[in-house]
Amino acid sequence: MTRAVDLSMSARTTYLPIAEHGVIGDLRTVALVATDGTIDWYCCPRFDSPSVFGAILDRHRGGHYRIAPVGQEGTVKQLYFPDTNILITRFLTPQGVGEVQDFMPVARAGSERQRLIRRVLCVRGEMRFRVEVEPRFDYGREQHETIAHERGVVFRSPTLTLALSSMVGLRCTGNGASAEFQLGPNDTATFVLETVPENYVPRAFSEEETQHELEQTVAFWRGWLAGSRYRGRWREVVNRSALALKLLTYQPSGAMVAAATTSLPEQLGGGRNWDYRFTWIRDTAFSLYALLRLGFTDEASGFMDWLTDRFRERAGHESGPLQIMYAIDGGAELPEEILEHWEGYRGSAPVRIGNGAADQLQLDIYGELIDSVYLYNKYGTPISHGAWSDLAGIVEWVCDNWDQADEGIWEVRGGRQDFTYSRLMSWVAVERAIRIAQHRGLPADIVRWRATRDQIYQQVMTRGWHPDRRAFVQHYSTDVLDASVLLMPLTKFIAPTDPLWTSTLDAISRELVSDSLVYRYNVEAAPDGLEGEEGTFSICTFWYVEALARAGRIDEARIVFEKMLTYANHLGLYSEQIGPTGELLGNFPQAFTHLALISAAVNLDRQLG
Amino acid sequence: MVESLGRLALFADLTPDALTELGAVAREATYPEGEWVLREGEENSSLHVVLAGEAGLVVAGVERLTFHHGMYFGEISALLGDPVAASVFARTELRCAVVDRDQLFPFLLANPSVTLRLLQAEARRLADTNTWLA
Repeated sequence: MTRAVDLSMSARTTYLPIAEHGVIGDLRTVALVATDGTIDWYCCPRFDSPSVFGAILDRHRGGHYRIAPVGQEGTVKQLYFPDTNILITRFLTPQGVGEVQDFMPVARAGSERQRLIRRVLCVRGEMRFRVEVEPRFDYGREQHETIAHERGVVFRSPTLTLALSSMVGLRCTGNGASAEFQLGPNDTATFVLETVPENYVPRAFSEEETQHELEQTVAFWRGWLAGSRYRGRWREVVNRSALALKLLTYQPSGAMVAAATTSLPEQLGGGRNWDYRFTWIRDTAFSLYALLRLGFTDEASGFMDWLTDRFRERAGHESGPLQIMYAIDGGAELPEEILEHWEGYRGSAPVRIGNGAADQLQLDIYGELIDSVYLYNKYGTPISHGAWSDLAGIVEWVCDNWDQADEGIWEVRGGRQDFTYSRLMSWVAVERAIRIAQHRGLPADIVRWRATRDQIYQQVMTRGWHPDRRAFVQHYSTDVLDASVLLMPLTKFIAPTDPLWTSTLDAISRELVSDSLVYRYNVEAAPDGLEGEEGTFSICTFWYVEALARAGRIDEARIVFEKMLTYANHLGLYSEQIGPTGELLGNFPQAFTHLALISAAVNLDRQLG
Repeated sequence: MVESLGRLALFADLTPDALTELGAVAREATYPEGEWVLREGEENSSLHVVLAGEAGLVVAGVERLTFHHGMYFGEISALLGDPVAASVFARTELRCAVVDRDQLFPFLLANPSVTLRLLQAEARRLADTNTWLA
């Protein structure tokens, strides 16, 4: 897919829409590449490291890395090299056609080297390009030295040294480097930004070496994608979502970030700006579920190992066997901090790093977790003795603790409630554990587990059901609807054609669905302790598709799904939410949306036969 | 000139005092576009560090390499005392910091960090050349 963009809309003078970005990565971190050739988000060396280029959150102080033709006239098109995460930004100008090919080689296990390669190619005509590299270390809080070498420039901060190597002569600016260069037909110029030791001397990269790295990277992504068993409809969209999910995986630990960015706003100018560069148990479990549905099992296996370490660390902790989120290396402390010196995306302050919701009690996470373990046990590797012991411990904890108020799936900051969704997921936790135990003949206190499962079921059916609304509601003491209950039929808690359910689905259709897009709850009716409005929540829309499909409303499901596909950006990527005029809002790209797309596509395709 | 020299890899580790000293031994030279900076066979070469503009290296009548900001040339004949092996001309208006041979030796001896950088850069040139020959 391609789209034309006016070249004069540069990220240097304005903030490009969130949708006007592609993403590349190496399973350790990512970079966002805007359609004007600017990298305006790049944290190094990890997803959750401080940013080096952060212009998307402060165009003046954030730092950027731009390669684009000199001059204003022309259009831009951006696409992925097929079935890879190699991004091509194409510039079509009166002087000629040029491309910037952006990619990050995926390092072998154990290798510390991290490279961001930008290869510039003149396809036709004579093109003059300008490159500008303005790093700002530690979110712009750390000073650095800029040192000119023969083959490039070294940027040395107290905590990180980066080298930009190129055969093109670079001139040092105050804190960065720039150059203009001319390319004729089929000429190339390559810029390699890499993490290096302090006293590194940049070297020349030959065209052959760049080609080799490119081919290796193509082979890596295609090799990975070949593991997908999906052959149904919308395959390109599903594949792109799978590639996006994989990009959000931190290979050294097997953990997955919820999104690649922090503080892209849920509302322009609003304060709902959060750091998503962490591993939520919920998001990761859902992601693995989606990948397992497509036939990918390595990611699940990596995450299971990571989880095992988390259980062991937290054994005996009173607020539960797991925290709701962790750092990608398993760190439990995620202190929230505001970057006062940054104005935020289009003035949407504050910019937050860290996440203060980490110590919330959200009982649903055990359900999502055990559901994905269930699937992994079924389609991947049969569960090990050690993992089962850990899991059985979790189930025992859920049996003891499910019946209490918590903060719920949406991390509202408005106080604890008896959320229907949390109870539903506690039911899933126990129900799936029973299935695994019975299927594999594993030791378990089945009598107690069954009793708990049925007790939760009865409670949801009586207290989660609102007789006047004729719907399942957000929590036990409200009449407000919540899109999270769409998971009731998806988790097989209730038959998709049960009258109680179809009546709930009708109510959700009336109140939370707006032009096929679904709000997660009605903010005005359910104060969530936060200021401001939000857009429709993309994962909810995909859940809605699945719920419609399972309820037999297939034509409706299909049109909602097809409409939802039109909200993706030109590359097939989504953020968390969609604003009132169809713009992407919130952190980008977001795992939640892509995993739900995969699940909806798989189910809808199956229903369509 | 002293400030811009401090940004170059060769002199990046110098203390402010050493940079001032460098400013005293180095002179600034400018060449209009097209002018020869070094001619093959010439004696008494000096180390030239490019401050602005571009210079081209010409071997046997063919332009082989472009020197730009931060790069230097003339060091081999300055160090060895040999005649210049290849000519260099100004591709654009060119501004260089020039350190003559008789000033260069005492400066390198007094500033081992520059000597190390010079050695690293020569090693990198050699390594790059080996890569291309492989």
